[in-house]
Amino acid sequence: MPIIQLSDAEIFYEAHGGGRPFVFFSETACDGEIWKRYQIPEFSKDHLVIIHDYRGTGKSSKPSIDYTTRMFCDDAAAVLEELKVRDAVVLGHSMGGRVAQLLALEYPERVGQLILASTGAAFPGATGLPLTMIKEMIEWGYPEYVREHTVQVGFTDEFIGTHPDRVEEFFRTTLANLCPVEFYLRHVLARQSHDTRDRLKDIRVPTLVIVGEQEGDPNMATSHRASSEMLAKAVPGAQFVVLPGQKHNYFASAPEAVHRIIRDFLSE
Amino acid sequence: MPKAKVNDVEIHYEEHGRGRPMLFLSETACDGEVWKIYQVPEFSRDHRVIIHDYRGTGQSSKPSNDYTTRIFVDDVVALMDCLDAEDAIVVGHSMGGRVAQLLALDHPKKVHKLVLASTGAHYPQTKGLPLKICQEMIEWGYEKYERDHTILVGWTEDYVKKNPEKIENYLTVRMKNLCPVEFYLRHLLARQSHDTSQRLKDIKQPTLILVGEGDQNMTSEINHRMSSEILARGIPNSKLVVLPNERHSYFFSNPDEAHRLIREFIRD
Repeated sequence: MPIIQLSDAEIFYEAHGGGRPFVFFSETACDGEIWKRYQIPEFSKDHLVIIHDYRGTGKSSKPSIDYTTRMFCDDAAAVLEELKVRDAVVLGHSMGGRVAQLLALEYPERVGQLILASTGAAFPGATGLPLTMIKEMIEWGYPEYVREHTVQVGFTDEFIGTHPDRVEEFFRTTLANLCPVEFYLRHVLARQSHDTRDRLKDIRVPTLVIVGEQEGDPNMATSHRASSEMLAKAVPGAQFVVLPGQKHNYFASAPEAVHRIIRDFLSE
Repeated sequence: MPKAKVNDVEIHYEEHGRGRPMLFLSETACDGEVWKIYQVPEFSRDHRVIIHDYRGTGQSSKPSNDYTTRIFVDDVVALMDCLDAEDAIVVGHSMGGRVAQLLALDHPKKVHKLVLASTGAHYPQTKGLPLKICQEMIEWGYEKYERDHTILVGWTEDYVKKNPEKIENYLTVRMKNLCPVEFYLRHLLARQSHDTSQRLKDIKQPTLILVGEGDQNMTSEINHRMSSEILARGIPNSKLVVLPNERHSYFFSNPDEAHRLIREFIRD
């Protein structure tokens, strides 16, 4: 179990396979385990796949201090430094996409290509812990909230109806590794205060923006559809792919489709 | 059970006794019922005591929009207009003391004298929902949080041990009227964003500031002892009295000394 020791935290990471480095960043308060079901088997065939647990999650330390996406970025950069990784493919899902943007901006030598999956540059007008989220966590309980929220935003009703086993498999991983609620909230605060809107023009690497077709109303500024379109317009030369019939967790519900799009992007 | 149609909501209120109006304003997300244990019987002997339920609490309307202490003031002003009450002695406890400050500043004719009990002018750092409160509400559940938190900040361990029946008596009133958690959170947001710290010098009314000696619980970055001292330094015609061996909830268990001080202050 490789661990890198930083001044204020230990960061747990794993590397699988060999070849051009390929880094995966998870969504809010989610550790690196989530990539093991589909992405590591696929991409470790010809890449050195690197996953890690953000501080506050999984086997990494959980200091009770304020977190920021910049802090997550610096932690990840330390892992890449340890592994002497340069010019990597960096994929970030949801909050991980915010960390990936910062990595491309702050450590450009580490990033060769960027994949921003269902993410955005900011949450306009929404700093602090969102009221509806906190209300539901209190009323339903924390694991129940995570489960119910994932069902709502992650998978289409059709997929849940036809593939209940795969939804359950997904929850077995995420709920088994659920971090203490304090750190879930610290991750949410980090996500809500992230803002790279004025810096997207400075991202210089080839970038692929992916979003599920059913990730909210493209006309609502807060939806992943709208925030992804905004990213695709603002990052110079970015490609934009909308995955038909998908919601937020297509890395679990449609891995073949999204892997094919990623491989097309990488082979260009 | 009288209700006044004010602004866009119905505000439940009660009046007891005759004499100079005396308005009591409750703590965060707490309705007016709590004043009926000790303060209404005491002060209605020679005052027209007015209590009300803030919007979001008790029997008043509960619209699902953003609340601010300014909105609470607007409701109080409309209610006082409706009752033809002005030049009142205004006693605000905790968040109610924040509402009372704004009332004195923006509607000076409504306020003859001001009692600011266990309150403050602002929370300098935390403008959103405080993480520790959210975490405890999620982990403990809403009712257990309110109960345990009220006891912890309300009274010394020694007092709790010696006076279980007084505390149960209060908690029975408080818990019976607990508002839905959504409105507790909306009240918290109103409280956290309140800031009169730059306006204290403009409070012209004679002001009595009360605080329990042990009101030093740190749920936010500033405790009531510290914030009461800030009030005393900032408000020109003010007097700070520290109540020995008390914490936050002396009004509802052991009010004799607070009542004596208030009567002395009214008489001066």
